[in-house]
Order: sequence, then C-alpha cells, then structure tokens
Amino acid sequence: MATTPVVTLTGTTIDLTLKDLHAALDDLPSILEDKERGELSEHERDVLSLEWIREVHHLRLVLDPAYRSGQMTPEQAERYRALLARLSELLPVIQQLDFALPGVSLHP
Amino acid sequence: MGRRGTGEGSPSRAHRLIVEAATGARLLSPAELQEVLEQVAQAGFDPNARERARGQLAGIIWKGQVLAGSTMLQPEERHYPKHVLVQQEWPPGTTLVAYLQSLREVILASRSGVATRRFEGQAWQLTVVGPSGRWRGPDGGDWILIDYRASLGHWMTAYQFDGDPEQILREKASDLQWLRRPW
Repeated sequence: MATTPVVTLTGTTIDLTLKDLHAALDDLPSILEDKERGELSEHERDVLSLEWIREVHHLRLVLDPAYRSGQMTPEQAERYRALLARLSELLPVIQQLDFALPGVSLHP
Repeated sequence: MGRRGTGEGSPSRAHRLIVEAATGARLLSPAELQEVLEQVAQAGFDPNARERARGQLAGIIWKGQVLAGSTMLQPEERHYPKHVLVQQEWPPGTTLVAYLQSLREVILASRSGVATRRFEGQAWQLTVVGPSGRWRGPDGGDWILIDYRASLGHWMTAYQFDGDPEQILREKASDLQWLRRPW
C-alpha cells in the first residue's frame, strides 16, 4: 500500500466523517433488501458501490488513525466504537452486496 | 464526435478511444485525450437512470417535494443533494448548476489526473481526479473525483475526498492506468 498522505485533522473533519459513515451504514440494509427483491438495478448497485469506497477510504485514512492515536475526543471515540460495532453487525450485508470491506480492525 | 455509447450498436468514438487506451492497444495523442475529455465533460449523469433517495436524503425538501427514502430520482437530482446539501462537500450555497459546472471544470483542467480502470472486473471507466480548490466545502476534500462509465457514456458518481487518489482508484478495480497523473 502506498504511503498514507498527511491529512489535517480537525474536530470538524472527524465529526463530519463520522456522520457520513453512520449515514452510509444505515442505508446498507435497505440496499440489500432491494437487491433481494430484484429492485436494485445494476446501475444503482454500481453507483452505491463506488460511493461506498469514499466512505471506506475515509474510515481508513481519517477515523481509524485518529481513534488509534488518541486524537478523538471522548464523545467522538464513543461514536467511533458504536460505528465499529455497527460495521461488525453489517459485515455480512457488505459481503452480500460485494462492497469494499472496511479494511480496519473492527475491535475497539 | 460519434454518438455516445449505449451498450447497443457501435460504441462512440470516445468509448472506443478509452477502451483502446485502457487495454494498451494504443497511446492517445494529446489531441485525442482532449477530445475524450470534452466528450466526458459534456456527458453528465444519465437522465434515463433512476436512483433511490434512501435514508440519507429522506425528509429533505427537493423541488417542493419532501423526499422519502424510496423516492426514485434522476442521478443528478440524487448526487447533488447528497454530496452538496447533506454531506456539504461543496461550499454552502452551491447550486445544482454550479455543482455540475465544477465537475466539468475539473474534467477539463490540465492539472487533473485521468485514469482508466476496470471496475469490479467488468466495466471500463475513465476516472478524472483534480484539486477541489475553491469548490471545497466544509466536509469536502483535497480532490474531486468524477467516474465516467465508457459503455454507458455518462458519469456514475462525483464526490470529494482526501488522501491518495490511487488508493481510491485501485479499490475494487483492476487494470488501473494513468493517462495523465494529477499535479
């Protein structure tokens, strides 16, 4: 993997990235339901897969390094632990959709 | 320029040039690359496709209508509220027209990188990545990415992100080839 570039972290960056990830995770079950009902077009599945990559990329680049290096506030860390738990819960959904895997440890 | 590729009949000239460059069949001349990029800039999102609003857009008012998660939208009418209004990747006040214009600017900018790749082992895509500059919003990133599907002849998505463009471009994709690196 290439060297991770430096990203300037601010509380706002972490908060907004947490918000985006939680929102993306919340949509995954409905996407799988649509797929199982035959109501998810190939176009929409591919678009959602492409957009999910952005969220996974920021999980790896922004959130996980900030959490593991103690750069999060206690409140942000709590939200991140909740996000990891949700990721663990939804891992089978991610796999069934064949979306990009998180690529970070799901253990807090 | 020939008609755009639709997956039916003969592909457009832009589609053919992208696939030939992607497969190494030929190197595009600067004039040919510019021709492809002008076609990509004009292409926009597919007006005939539909995407669900989903939970992230549920409850927002769009064109006088309160969106439900199940509301089906044209792609540009989902990508704009998602990436500009909700995720705030573009500056506050950015209109739909300005959002689309920002994407065209990045596609045509000489500093932008241009790559071909095969997404999920199947579809050839031309991906343009350029500095976000004045288009960076509160939850934006250093880069704007536009994914164009050659066989469709339209953009698939466009968003802002931080970090190394190559890491994003390699995710779930193979045969990545830079026709021009970003700088």
